[in-house]
Amino acid sequence: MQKKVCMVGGFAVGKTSLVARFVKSIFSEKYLTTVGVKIDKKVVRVNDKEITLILWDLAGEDEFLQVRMSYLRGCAGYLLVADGTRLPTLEKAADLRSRIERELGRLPFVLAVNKLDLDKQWEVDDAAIRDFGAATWVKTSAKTGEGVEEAFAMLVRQTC
Amino acid sequence: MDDASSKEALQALRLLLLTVESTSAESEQLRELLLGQYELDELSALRKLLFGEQLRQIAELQRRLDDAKIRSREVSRILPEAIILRAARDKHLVKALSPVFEEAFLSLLRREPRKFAESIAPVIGPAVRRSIQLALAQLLQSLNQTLDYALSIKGWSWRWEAFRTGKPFAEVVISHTLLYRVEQVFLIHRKTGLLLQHVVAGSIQFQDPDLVSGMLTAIKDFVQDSFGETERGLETLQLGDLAVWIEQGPHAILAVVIRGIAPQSYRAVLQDSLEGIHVEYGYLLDEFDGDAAAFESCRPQLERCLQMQLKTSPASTNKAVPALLAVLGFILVSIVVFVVWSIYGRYRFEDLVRRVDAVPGIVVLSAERREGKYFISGLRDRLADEPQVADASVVVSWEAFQSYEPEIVRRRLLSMLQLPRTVIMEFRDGMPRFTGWARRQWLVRAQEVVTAIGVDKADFSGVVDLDSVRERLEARELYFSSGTQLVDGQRIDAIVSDLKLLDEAKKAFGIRVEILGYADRRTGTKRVNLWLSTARAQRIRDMLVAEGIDPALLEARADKDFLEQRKVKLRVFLLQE
Repeated sequence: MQKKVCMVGGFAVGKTSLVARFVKSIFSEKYLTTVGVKIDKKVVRVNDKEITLILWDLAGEDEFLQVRMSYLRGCAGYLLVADGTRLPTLEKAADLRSRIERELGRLPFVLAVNKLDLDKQWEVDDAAIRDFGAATWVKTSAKTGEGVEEAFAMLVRQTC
Repeated sequence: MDDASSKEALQALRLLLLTVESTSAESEQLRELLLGQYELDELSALRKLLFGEQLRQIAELQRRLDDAKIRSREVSRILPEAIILRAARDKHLVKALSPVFEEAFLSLLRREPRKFAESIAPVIGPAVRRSIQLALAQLLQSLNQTLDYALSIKGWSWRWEAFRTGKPFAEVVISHTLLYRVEQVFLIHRKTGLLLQHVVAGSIQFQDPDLVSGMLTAIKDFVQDSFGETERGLETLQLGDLAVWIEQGPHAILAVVIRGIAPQSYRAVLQDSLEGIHVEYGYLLDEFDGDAAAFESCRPQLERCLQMQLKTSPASTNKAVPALLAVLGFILVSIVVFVVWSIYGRYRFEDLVRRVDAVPGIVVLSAERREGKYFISGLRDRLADEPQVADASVVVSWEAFQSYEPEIVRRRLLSMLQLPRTVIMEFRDGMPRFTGWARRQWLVRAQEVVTAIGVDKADFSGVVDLDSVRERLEARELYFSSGTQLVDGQRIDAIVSDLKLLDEAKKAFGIRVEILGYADRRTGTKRVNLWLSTARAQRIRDMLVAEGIDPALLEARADKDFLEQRKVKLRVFLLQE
């Protein structure tokens, strides 16, 4: 069983680092700046079922670059990533979510608030995360690996 | 609308409803309501009058539709033509009927195997023969190509290229001879970009097909988004001699990786395969949820896309003959070289054996070749020369023995006799012969040695025994009657003869001969006797010199012990040897 899963979020929120924590890549990161996406694969087991996740790591969105919605077509769910040390990235995540739902309908997603290792510099508090309205959210650190596996596991469970 | 017009319209509606065979409950109620004021018989009569023929036709149509037999007969009339028309239009009919025929065929095969075998027997024989012929032709072609690549200059240049670039030889050959080869086929779900099936030609190296299919989808989407082409989408990617051809269907994408230049006609193959997959797996593709297991069965269709074509080489068949001849020639030359080398090796060995056997003191008992090596064994006297065997493949082994060959006997005698410089040894008629001068002691020992080493005969007669000569000379005395007058009949021939023997050996042995003169002391004075003794010795010396004896050999003097006899004696001194 295969699932297409997308990594979506603002620029430099740590999406690629989260994927790098999760899998060993064979493609260069230069694809992110050229094609706008890099694809990786990870096999996980959920409820004794082997699931192959095809991870589409989409280039982060900023004022110069927009996420290509066509890349999200057919995905089973997405990991919406924000940077805990930058509140605007949570707003960007909200914007992305609404655009995705507008163009592709409601899809399972998990909100991952990244950079937990820099918790002293955090601007995003729990209230803000709760206000986001995500059914599932998790704090992660690509640097230490905390919450990374959990984030993907939660997403897989939602898509099954 | 006025009242009269309304009545006319209502009347027309009533008549229409009378003619309609309605079945719905609402229509029936409405009809009954409208017709309430008319008698049924009248209406029926009126209806028959107005629509009798149409009602009959409708009833007939109804009967034909309801009767399955009639419908079947009618379909059977148009079915062949319909099949022909659809088959001419596209291949959907074939694809739709394939599973049915396949199932039917397998069912027949299982049920009536004997009938099936009998049916195909007339064609199976020729088919098998044809297949064998084709296989042999392919084998011959393959052999010819292999020989061509292995033996031609071109083949060697490719080998050099492979060595230089570090590529496998097969890859270099393919790069030079391949027109195109489809190396990989990806069947990708169009919406998700997930891989449905992947087939590979041979043993080529490839990246994770799941990721490649994802990236291909992303690139396709990227190009479509960027350039707005939504009708056909990305069809080809080119990278050096590699190309990716993409064929898109409603639900799936077929992407093939091609090395070389494929003909455009190959795209029809892709389209055909993709169409077939859509026909067969349309529902699964539409409802795809990530489980690609159901698409395992479409592998044969994808494998048909793994096509390859080599560059046609018109000269290849002609080259095969020279290549084959070259191989045969090479084999023949190899055989000739092997045979010649074997004969030459045998000749060299036999020559070596002959030469070794000819060495004095060596007897070859056996010479043979075993396990690629030559062995010589025999007997060898310790005084024999070491045979010169430089070839490492020749192993020699000797047993010690004593040889009686003349040369070895000569060497043995030379080593044991300590031959004086004045003695020469030579072999004549197998017998050692000695000549020269020697002392008696050496002669005696030499004869003992000769006997001891087993030599039957040896000739020492040519050796002058100096001690015997001395004894003979010292035994002779020459008498004088008076003064220096010799007694009549006294001759010096024997003395001359012996002195001549000494004369030749005088340098080697430092020989000196004293001639001692004597006088009768009973008469004359001592002075006179001394003079007379000296004169007598001198007289003999003069006579000997006159006979040719070297004067340096002879010394004449008076013996002061005068005795009672008028005579001369000789005394011989051997200073050396």
